[in-house]
Amino acid sequence: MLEFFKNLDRRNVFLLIAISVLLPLISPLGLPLLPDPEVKALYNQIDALPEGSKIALSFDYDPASGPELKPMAEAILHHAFKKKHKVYAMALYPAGPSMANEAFSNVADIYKAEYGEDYINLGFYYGPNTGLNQVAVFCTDIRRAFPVDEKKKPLSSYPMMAEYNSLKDAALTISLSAGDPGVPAYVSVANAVHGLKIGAGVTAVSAPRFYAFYNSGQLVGLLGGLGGAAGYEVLNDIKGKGLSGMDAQSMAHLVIILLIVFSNLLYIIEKKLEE
Amino acid sequence: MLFEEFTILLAGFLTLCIYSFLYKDNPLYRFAEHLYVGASAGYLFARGVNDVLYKKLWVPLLDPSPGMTPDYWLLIPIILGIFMILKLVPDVAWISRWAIALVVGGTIGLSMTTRFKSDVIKQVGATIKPFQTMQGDPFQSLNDLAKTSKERFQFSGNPTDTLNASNQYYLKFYRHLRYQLQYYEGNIPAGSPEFLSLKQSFDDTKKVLEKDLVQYVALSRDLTKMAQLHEQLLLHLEAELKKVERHIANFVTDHNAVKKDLSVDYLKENIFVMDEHFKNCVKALTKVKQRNDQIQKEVADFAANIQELADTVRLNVNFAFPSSSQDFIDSLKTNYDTLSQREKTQRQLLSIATLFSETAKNLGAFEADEELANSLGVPSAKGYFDSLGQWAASCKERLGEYETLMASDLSTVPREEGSEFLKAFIIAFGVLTILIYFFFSTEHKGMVGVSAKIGIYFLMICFGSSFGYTIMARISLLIGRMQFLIGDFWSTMARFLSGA
Amino acid sequence: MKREIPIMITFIVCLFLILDFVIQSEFLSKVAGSINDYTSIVATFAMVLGLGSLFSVHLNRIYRKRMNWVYSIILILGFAVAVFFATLYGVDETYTVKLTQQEYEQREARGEKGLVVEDVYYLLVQNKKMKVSKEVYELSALSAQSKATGKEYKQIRKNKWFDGLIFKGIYDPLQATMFSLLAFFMASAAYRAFRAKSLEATLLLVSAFLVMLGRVPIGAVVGDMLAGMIPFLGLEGSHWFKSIADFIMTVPNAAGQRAIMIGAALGMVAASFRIWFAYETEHLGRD
Repeated sequence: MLEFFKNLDRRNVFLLIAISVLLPLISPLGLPLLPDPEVKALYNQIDALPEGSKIALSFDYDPASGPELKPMAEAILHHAFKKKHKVYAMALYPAGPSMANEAFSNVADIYKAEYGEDYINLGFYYGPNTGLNQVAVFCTDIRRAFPVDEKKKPLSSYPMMAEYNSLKDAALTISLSAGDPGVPAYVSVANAVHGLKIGAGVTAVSAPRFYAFYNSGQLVGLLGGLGGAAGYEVLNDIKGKGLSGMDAQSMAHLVIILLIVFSNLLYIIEKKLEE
Repeated sequence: MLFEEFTILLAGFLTLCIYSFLYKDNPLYRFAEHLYVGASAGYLFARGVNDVLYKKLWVPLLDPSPGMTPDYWLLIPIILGIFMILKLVPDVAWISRWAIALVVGGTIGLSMTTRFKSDVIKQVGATIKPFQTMQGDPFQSLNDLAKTSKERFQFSGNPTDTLNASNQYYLKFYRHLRYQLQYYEGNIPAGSPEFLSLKQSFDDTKKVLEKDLVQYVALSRDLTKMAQLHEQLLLHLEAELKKVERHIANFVTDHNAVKKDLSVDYLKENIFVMDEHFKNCVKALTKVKQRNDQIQKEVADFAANIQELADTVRLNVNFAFPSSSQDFIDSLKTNYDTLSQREKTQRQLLSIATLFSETAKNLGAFEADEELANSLGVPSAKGYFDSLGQWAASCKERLGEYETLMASDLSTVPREEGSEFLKAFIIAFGVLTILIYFFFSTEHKGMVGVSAKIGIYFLMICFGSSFGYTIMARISLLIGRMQFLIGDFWSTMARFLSGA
Repeated sequence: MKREIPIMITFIVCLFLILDFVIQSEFLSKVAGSINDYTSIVATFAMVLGLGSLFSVHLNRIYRKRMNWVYSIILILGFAVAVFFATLYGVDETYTVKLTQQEYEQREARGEKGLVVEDVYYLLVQNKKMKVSKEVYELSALSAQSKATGKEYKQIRKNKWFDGLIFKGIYDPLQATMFSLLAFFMASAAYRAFRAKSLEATLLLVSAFLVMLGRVPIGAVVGDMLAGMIPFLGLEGSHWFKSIADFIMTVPNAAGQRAIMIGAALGMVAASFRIWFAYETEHLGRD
C-alpha cells in the first residue's frame, strides 16, 4: 500500500486536480469572499477620485495571463465607468490592445460609454523588455509613443485627448501586468521619478514581489491574481469571472495541501518503518 | 456554421490536443504545439511590424500628413536596426554591435537611475520611516511646532508667498490636531498643565489665522478682476477667429482669380495648414467659452467661501480658556473645522488657477497677442495667463506636498498603533538579517552566522508565500481554460452536433 | 575600431540619460526622449533575429528530414498564414474597405453590415479639390463656386481571419492552455518531491499552506471547523487564516522581497557601471 501511494502514477494526481477544478465550476459552492486590504486600497483610490477624472490603464499582459487579469480589467472598468471616469488604455505587450478591446467590449455598452469620449485604446508601444524606456516616453509625451490610436486615427480627433498629453495628466495610473515590462517599469519611472500614483493588478506568480512596493507606498493598491479580481468584484457588487472561479480555486488548493500533507505522512511512516 | 462558431470549435479542439499530453506525448499534441509556435511567431511579427515599423517609421518618413515635414532623424534608428539584422550575416555581424550598444546603453542608463531610486532608496526609506515618526509627548511637539512656525512666518504682502508659507505650517498643525482628537478624547483632566501649554499654542494660532484671512480677502479681489478680464478675452478671441476666416476666404478667391498654374502640393499644403489652424482656433474658442462660465461660477463661490472662513476664524478668535475636558475637545474640534474650511479654500484656489492656466494654453492657437494684450490693458495677454499657469503649477506642487505630509504621521505613535510599530520592526529586522545573509564577503560565524540563519528563515517564509501564490496562479489559468471548455466550447459543440 | 565605437555609443547614450535624471534641462529632456524612442525602435528589429534563428532550425530540420520534420512544416505554415492574413487585412479587430457608390449600394441591397457614408467637404482652388473640415467649408465669405461637397463610401469589416482565426482561434487559447498545463505538473511535483526534511523546508511548507488557505474562501470554512473543535473558547475562526495570510504577505514576505529587491538593484547598478565604463563588454560578443 505504501509503495503504491509512494509511486502513484502522476496521471492520477492530474485527474484529482482536474476533478477538483471541474466539480465546483459545474456545481458552485457559493463560498463568501472577503476582499484583502490592498484590494480595498485600490478600490478606495478610484472611488475617491472626482467624477470625470482621467485614469490611465496599461494592459501589459497576453492571453496566457488573461484568466487572472481580464476579470481585474473588467472589474476596474465597471468601477471607472460607474463613476464616469475617463479611461486611457495603452499597452507594453503586443497582445495588450486586443486584451483592452475585449475588456471594453464586455463593459462599455452597459454604461453607454463612447469610444473617444469616455475611453480610448491608444495601442501598443514596443521597446526593451524592462519597459523603462517606454514608460519614460509615456511620462513626457504620450503622442510620441502613440501618434495615432489603435484604430489608426489621429489623437487630435478625439475630444478626450485634448487635455491629455502624458501620464502626468492622469489622476491615477494602473498597470495590469504579467511580469516585465509592466508594474516595475511604472514604479521605477512614473512613481520614483515623476511622483505619479500607481496602482497594480498582477498575476499571482508575481504578486508577492509587489508587497514591498505596496508597503513602502510606491503602489497605492494591489490586486494579486484571481483572488484580487474576485475581491474587487465583491467591492463592486458585480459578479464576474473572478468570483465564479474562486470556488474551484478553493477546492484545488485544498486538494494540493492534502496531497502534500499525505505525501509527507507517507515519508514519515516510511522513515519510521526503516528505523 | 458561422465563422465564430468554427473559431470556438477550433480553439476547443486545440486545447484538448494540448491537454492530451497529460496522458502521454502524442502526434496531436505535437501538431498543436508546433502550430502554436508558428502562429504566435507570425502574430508577434505582424504586430511588431504594424505598431513600430509602419506607425512609427513608415508613416512619419514616407507618408507624413500634408503640412508635416518628414522626420529625417528617424533614419538613425532605421540604420541601426538594419545593422542589428546584419548579425545574421557572419562577415558583417560585427556592425550589429553598434545597435546593441544603443539598446544596452539606453537600458542601463535608465535602470541605473530609476531602478536604483525605486528599488533601493525608496525601499530603504520605507524601512526606516516608521521609526522616524516616533517622538515624545504630543503636546510637547505641538508646542515646539507653534514656537518655530512663528519665527518662520513672514507676511511679504504677496498673496502667493504668504499662502505657500502658511500652508506649510497648517499642514502640520492640522495633523497634530486630528491626532490629538483621537488620542485624548475625554481623557484630559480639567485645569491640568497640558491645558496651559496648549493655550499658548492656540493664542499664537489665532493671530496667524487672522492675518491669513486678510490675504485671502485680497486674493478674492484679484480673482474677481481676472474673471472680468477673461470675459473680455472671449470677445477678442471671437474677433480673432473672424480674421482667420477672412484670411482663408481671401486665399481661395485670390488663387482662383490668378490664372497661374500652381502645383497641387503647394495648394494642398497651404489649405491643409489653414484648415488645421482654423479648426484649432474653433476648438480653443469653444473651450475658452465653456471655461469662462466655470470661472465666473468658481470665483463667485470662492468669495462666498472666504466669507465662511472669516466666520469660523471669528469663532476661533473668541476662543476662551476651557474649563472642562469636554470644552477642550470642543475647542479642538472648532480649530479642526477651521482648518478643514481652509483646506477647502485651498483646493478651490487650485481649481481656479488651473482653469486660468488652461486658457493660457488655448491662447497658443491664436496669433495676435500684442493687439489682444493692448485691448486687455496687460503687458502681454499670453504672458499674463502664462504667469497664472506658473502659479497654478506651484499651487499644485504645494497641494502635492500637502498630501505627502498628510500621509506621514508627524506626531507620536498612539498606543493603539503599537501593532504597526511591531510590524515595522519585524520588517526592518527581516530586511537586515537577509542582507547580512547575502553578504558573503564575511564568514557566516558568530553573530553574523546567527543573523544570516534568521535571514534564511525569513527567506523561507517569503519563498513559501511565493510558492502558494504560484500554485494560485497556475490553478487560475486552469480554471480559465475549464470555464471555456464547459462554457462556450460545450454549448457550441452541442449546437453543432444537434444541427448536424 | 570594431569595439571602440560601440563602447563610445554605450557611454554617451548612458551619460545623456543619467544627466537628464539629475539636471532639469529642455535640451537633455529632448535628447533623452529621442534615445528612449530610438531604443524602443531598434529593439523591434531584434525580433527579426529571433525569427531568423527559429527558421534556420526548422528549415534545416525539413531539408535534412530530421526526426519530426513534418511538424516543422506545420510551424512554418502557421507563421506564413498568420503573416499572410496580417498583410491582407491588418492586425486590428476591424479593417476598412473603400467603395464606390455603386459597390456601396450593391452591398447595402445585400444587407451587408458595417457600411458607412461620410460627408466630405472641399475647397475648389484652380479647379482642384482640396479636402477640408466642415467648419472651413461653412465659412460665410466663400462663394458657392469656391466649395464643393461629396461622399465617401466605406465598409468596416471584422478582421475575422487575423483577429478571429489567428488570435482568438489559435494564439489566445493555446498560450493560455500551455501555461495552465503547469498547474498539473506543479501539483504532481509537489506530491512527489515536497518533503519537510528540515526546519527551513517546514517553514516554507507551513507558510505556503497558510497563504494558500488564507487567500481563498475555503480558509474561512476550515477556520470555523477548527474553532468549532475548541467550543469552550467561543472563538470565531473564519478570519484566522485570512489574518495570518495578510500578516505573512505584508510582514515577512514584504521583508524578504524588499531585501531581495535591494540586493538585486545594488548588483544591477554595479553591473551597469561596469558596462558603462567598459569593464564588461560581453554583450558585444567576441571578435
